[in-house]
Amino acid sequence: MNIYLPIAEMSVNVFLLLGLGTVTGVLSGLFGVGGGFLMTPLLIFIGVPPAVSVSTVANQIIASSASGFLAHWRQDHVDFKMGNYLLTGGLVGSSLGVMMFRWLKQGGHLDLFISLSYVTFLTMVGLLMAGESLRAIFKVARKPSSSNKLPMAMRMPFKVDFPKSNLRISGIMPIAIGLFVGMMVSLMGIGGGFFLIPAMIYLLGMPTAMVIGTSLYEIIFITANVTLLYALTTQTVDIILALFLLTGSVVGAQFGSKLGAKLPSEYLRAMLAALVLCVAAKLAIDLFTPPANIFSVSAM
Amino acid sequence: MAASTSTSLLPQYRGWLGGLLIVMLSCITLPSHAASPLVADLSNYHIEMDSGFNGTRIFLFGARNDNGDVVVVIRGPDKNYIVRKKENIGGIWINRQHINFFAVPDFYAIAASKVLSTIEQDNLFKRLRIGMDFILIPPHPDESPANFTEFSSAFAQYQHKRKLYMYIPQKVSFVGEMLFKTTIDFPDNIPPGDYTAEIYLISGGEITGMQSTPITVVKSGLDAFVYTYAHTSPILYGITAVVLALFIGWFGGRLFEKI
Repeated sequence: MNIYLPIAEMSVNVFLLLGLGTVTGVLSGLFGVGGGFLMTPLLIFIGVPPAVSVSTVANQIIASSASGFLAHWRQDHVDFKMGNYLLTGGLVGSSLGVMMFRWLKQGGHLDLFISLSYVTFLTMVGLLMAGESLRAIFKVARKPSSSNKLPMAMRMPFKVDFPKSNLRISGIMPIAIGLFVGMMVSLMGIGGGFFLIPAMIYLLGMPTAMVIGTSLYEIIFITANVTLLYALTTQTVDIILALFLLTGSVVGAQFGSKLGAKLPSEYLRAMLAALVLCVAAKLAIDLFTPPANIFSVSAM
Repeated sequence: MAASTSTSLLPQYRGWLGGLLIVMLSCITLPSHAASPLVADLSNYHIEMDSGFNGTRIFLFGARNDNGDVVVVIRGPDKNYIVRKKENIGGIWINRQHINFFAVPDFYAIAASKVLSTIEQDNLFKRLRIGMDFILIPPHPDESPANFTEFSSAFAQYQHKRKLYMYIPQKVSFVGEMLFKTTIDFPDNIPPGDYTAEIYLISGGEITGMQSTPITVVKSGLDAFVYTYAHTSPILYGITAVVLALFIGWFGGRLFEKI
């Protein structure tokens, strides 16, 4: 059964879309990540134009973040003040990202840029996670850090109190992190939780309990901003595509989180690391393989 | 013109016979127009694409009052395209050179009563852009790069792969000496817009008869609504997308919380 996607302007099998949504949903429930890093490359792989993939996945992440956010909010695990600092940078960064995206598309380097960012970013995160989870599995003690240095955010000027996280750190740091993550959201079609969560723990020194709820709060608004801007400037948000992906991922996430509760977390992280590295390797190989057709055509 | 007087009768006739009958009748009943060298008509002028659209076929039929070869050209709406060529730089394949193609037909189908190359045409095909060789011409002859043909054939191949350009003409077949017929297939991915069907009667390297008929292709149903909404009120469309996602996220969260 095929469905015509009005914005992507192509016919796709309904079950393929639902399946994609479910698989990424299971992963996000299992590992607690958004799944955008997998969804965007997969959509591009089945022939959805990169511009449509990135903006539609941003639209879909609004929904998955919103349902996660509600759960954390009920447990009072959201630091709104910190979230607003991240958001300030994030709104600027994501808007800049949308401008850069258009510029890259006009120059014909968009696909290459997306692949390169994915390869770089996924390799980095994958290796870090693999190392960390393998150490946990084999019970290797972390080498004590050279000194008990304070996180960088504490040594910078413009200190701000964040009572909820019990922190007094420079306001520049969360804004800068937000700026960077915002750009990634609009350029790569991901939620950014992948980068945001470690950054909040290691760079800001936030308590782990606050991290996920606060990051989801930020991601909702950033992906909403990206969706609006792409709808306005490039008309590449495909509501029909987003609805199918959403349906799959909402259901998949429930299975994923039930499955995740039964597996030890260090093995889960090792599996996620392996998956991330596989996606990165596939994209890296594609960069160097001679393309089937050296000519590419796009509408102006 | 005989054909235009008969058009109003036509939509209820879908097949060959009705059309042929009308063409014949118009030849007989309107003797003052019998001198018109070419009349032709289509089984359908209006194509609607809904979500179940699977492509369609249009029948063309006509009559010639003169000897000559019949060539039928269907052109789709004009569009601008950019064709890029990748080069290997340091192991990575990167887009380098590009050529813009402005106002090229997004759909091109052709039918002829003879193999095109055997029709005596004296530069006619180039002037009228008939046949694959002449659809794409350099934008400015003086500044077109030497490898223009490389890019234009890459573009033609791209369109051919999408079933939007036809390399080998369909056959226009004759019924007796005067009447002719052919079919034109429209695939499921045809771009919406204004098309034209041009029918030429060519003899001795000259056009002795010509008729041009418009065909419109429109999207219909939910797809058309979403597409138009996204392009005509992008702000509202964006807000709808955001609100819809927020609602589904919230609703999905509530739903599974209970289970």
